[in-house]
Amino acid sequence: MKLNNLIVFLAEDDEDDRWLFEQALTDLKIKTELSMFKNGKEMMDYLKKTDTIVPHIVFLDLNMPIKNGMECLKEMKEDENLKKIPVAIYSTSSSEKDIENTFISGANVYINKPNNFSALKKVVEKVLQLNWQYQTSNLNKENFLFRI
Amino acid sequence: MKIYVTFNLDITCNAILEEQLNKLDVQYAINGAREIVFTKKLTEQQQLGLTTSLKKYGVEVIDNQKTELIQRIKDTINEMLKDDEANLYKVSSYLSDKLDYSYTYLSNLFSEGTYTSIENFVILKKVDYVKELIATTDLSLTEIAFRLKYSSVAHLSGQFKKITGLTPTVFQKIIEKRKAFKSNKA
Amino acid sequence: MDFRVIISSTKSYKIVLAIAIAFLLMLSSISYRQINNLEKSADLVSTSLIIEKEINNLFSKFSLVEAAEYRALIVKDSIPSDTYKDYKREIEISLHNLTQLTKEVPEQQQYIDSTVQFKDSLHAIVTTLNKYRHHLLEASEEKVIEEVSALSTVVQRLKSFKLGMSKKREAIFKERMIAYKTETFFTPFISLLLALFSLIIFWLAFRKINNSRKKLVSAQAFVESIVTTSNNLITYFRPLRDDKGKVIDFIFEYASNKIEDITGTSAQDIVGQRLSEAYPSTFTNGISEMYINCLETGKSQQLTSHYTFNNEGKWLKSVASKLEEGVNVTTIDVTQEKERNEDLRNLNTSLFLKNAILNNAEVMAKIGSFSTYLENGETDMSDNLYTMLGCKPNDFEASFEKLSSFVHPEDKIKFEKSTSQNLKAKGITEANYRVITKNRKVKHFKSATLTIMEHGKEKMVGVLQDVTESIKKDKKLKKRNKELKRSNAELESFNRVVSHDLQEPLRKIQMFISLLSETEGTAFSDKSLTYFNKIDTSANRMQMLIKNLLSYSRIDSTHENFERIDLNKKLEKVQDNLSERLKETNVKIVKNELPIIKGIPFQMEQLFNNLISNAIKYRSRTGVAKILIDASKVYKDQIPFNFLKTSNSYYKIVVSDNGIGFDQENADKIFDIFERLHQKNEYSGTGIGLAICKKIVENHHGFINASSEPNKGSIFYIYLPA
Repeated sequence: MKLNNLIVFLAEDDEDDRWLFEQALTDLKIKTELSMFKNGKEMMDYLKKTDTIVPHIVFLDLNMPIKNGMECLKEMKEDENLKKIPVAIYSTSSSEKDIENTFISGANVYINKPNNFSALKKVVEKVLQLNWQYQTSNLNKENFLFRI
Repeated sequence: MKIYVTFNLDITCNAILEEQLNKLDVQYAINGAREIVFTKKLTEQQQLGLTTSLKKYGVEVIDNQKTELIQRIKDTINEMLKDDEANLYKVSSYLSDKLDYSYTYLSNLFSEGTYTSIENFVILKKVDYVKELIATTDLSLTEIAFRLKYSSVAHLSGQFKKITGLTPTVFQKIIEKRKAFKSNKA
Repeated sequence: MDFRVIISSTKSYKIVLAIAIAFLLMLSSISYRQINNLEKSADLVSTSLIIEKEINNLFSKFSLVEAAEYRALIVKDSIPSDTYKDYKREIEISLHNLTQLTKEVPEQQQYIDSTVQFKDSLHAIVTTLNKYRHHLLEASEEKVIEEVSALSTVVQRLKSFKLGMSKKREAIFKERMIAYKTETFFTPFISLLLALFSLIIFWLAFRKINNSRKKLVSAQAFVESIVTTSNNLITYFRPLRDDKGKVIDFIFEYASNKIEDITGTSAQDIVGQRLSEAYPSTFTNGISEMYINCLETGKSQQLTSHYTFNNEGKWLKSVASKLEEGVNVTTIDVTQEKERNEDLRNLNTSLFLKNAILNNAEVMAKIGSFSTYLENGETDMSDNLYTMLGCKPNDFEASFEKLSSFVHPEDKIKFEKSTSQNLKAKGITEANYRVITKNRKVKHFKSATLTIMEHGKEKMVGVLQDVTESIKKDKKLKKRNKELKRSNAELESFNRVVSHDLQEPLRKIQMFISLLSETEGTAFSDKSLTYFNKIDTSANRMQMLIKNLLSYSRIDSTHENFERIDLNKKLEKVQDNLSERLKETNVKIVKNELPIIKGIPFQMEQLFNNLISNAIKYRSRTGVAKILIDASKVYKDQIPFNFLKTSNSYYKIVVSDNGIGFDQENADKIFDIFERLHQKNEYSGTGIGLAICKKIVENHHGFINASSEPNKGSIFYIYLPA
């Protein structure tokens, strides 16, 4: 039995972080197709193009130039076509305020960027698994809320 | 003369799928993951008809036996969670009893098809149920813990926190604020 | 019953009586004179008759003398001289009588004088004749006849006199008779008039007296009924005097029935008794003195004094007035009145006191009050309201208009609006406005006004408070708050920079360290591995520092998250978290029952975590390390430390250990951020744990303090509001 590739988007301004994220994904068993963007605007512009294949999940860094993660999140949740895409926040901040605000604005997962690579791999894997379950099993997407 | 076209395969495929599915006159939904969900079970005739008509467009209905089994595992787990008595069993024995497959087989099949283990799924499902109760009812944590056969509120809170990274209280607060936020915007 | 009628009738009666007496006297005197006149008239009439008789008598004598002479002549007889002598004497007597009787009538006197003359001539003739007869003298017949005829002429003449006299007397008599008749007519008439008048006077007087008597009787009955029905006791005393006339006692002459109600002794029993025997207390409470005083001065006296009758105390008010020789006393039982007065006085006193307290309270609270009747504008203002307006109490006549005139011109509209609002509103309306006091100071007033109904009249009552100072303080506080907020915001942004911007590169360092060790770890030389581990440790340490710093700065003082926390459960959780470390270090925790408090759960967790971690870190390496956790409830006065106590009682939580301790002089320092008392290498840590503890406790309005002795252990005291 063959599972289709999961389409994953990542908006992250830090080149090293993008590279590390990509490394982590490739090391996973789950097959993914990753698209990365240098800031929120780039990703949003791409998402809004009509022929874009809707991703299974979007990872958003909060602190980005031009358009930050929070702005992207809000924009997505206001767009009829994009509001259903699960959003995982991927940030250094562990401030309760940031966490609460992103959840309220509609984020599904909040990830504190781990400080070692194996932890990063585990986190990403867990998020993808969760997302898959929420997409395919009879789970209430309204309650798709995790902090990892 | 020459023209060039670009096309989005997803849209093309979706159009074909919708065209054929509409013929069946049943309710359905197409998931982004190329999954078609029917609200009612199809008759064998309908199923056969759909498979042959889609084949013309190169769209193949994936072997549904394994998918079906995975779905049955999920359904059985759902049943088990809602059924007070069933809760007394271990998941493994309950599933193998109900589905007449060895648990190892079911477990492997499940992991293959869902990226996750049955155990994880059960916990996730249970937590989802807790979330549901917290979000939509006025039940206290003690009542929820009792209803879902948790030994204590602490156990419930502990598992909830471990799985979701949030305490039930924080979760409840966020859900409430999110609702308020949404209704404010509307 | 109109006493004035009685009194005025008595007066008029006297006047009428006096007039009647005068009239009677006058009439009597008239009558007397009349009778007198009558008597005189009668006398005069009788005199006339006597005179006539005398005249007749006299002249008859003359005629007799003539006749005798004639007879003697004829008979030639001699007349006895005795006879003539008798005549002569009788004539003399008659003449004398006539002269006497007609003294008042000159004409008759003339006649009498003439008569005397002729009588003398007659006498002479007779004497001559007698001489002839006795022949003493020789006379012829002729001569004798001649003499006799001369005698006859004299007698004739005398007879004419008699006629004149009679005529005269007749005239006088007639006159007198008329006068007499008149008198006799008037005298009975006047007498009758007198009698009639007397009768009328008598009748009128009788009627008057009878009426007065009747009135007196009813007045007496009226007085009697007053005396018996009145609440007043009426008594009459007769004084008892000693030899020198000094009053020594009084005797009850009269007592109205009321005496029984007041004293319990009946009126019959008391009358005749001595005052000193019946009520001895009157000789000590000033009553007897008052009676004596009243007797001596004749002025009425008044005294209220206390008595005890049958063990019941009574206050009696007596008014004594002198009546004839005794004392008339009216006594009223004023016990109730007196008691009521007493109550009223007490009430007054307490009211006065309360008023004084209120005045004081107004001054203390900077509050003034006023009330004004909407109907007539009658206004009352408290003393302190005047003071608040920079005036002296009652500097001006209280009125709402005057009061309004103090309002700051810029707030006038606001003030009027709130006033009119108050008139419409049912409850209390509050308003803030400024006033300008008499000495041109601007003050802020806060007012609460209410319109009430008092005796059917609308009355507005208001309380004004001088809030100038609190507004000033408020402004100051707001300014300070603003400054504080700004500096807080600065601190927050600083923390954010530190936490985020510092963490980013550090995390990347750590990330690559982990990647490096994962991929190339086995390829390192021993030396490289040592260096590499040092890099890793330092990076981790730095991360921990930043994390702690962050968590310190994140202990915000918002209290919206306060909830009930069972500290026992929190401690259990902390013990769970630290279980491995506790096992490793073989530290034993002994804990007693901890309270349930209100606070922020994760902060409480952090507090215990830090304290226990601290105790583990600085444990004694020589013996078995122990941590003792205990709690008790104390009142704020029992806490020996000086901090702002917002609660009456506190939970005192004590965390003590037998670790290495520290110098007591550093007891305050250990809670300062980054303050570490030990060598870095000796004990790992960031020196922020206790600072976080302090911040958490302070955030919960509590207090933390430590005491220690090196190598004996340290004790941490935490006070949290109960």
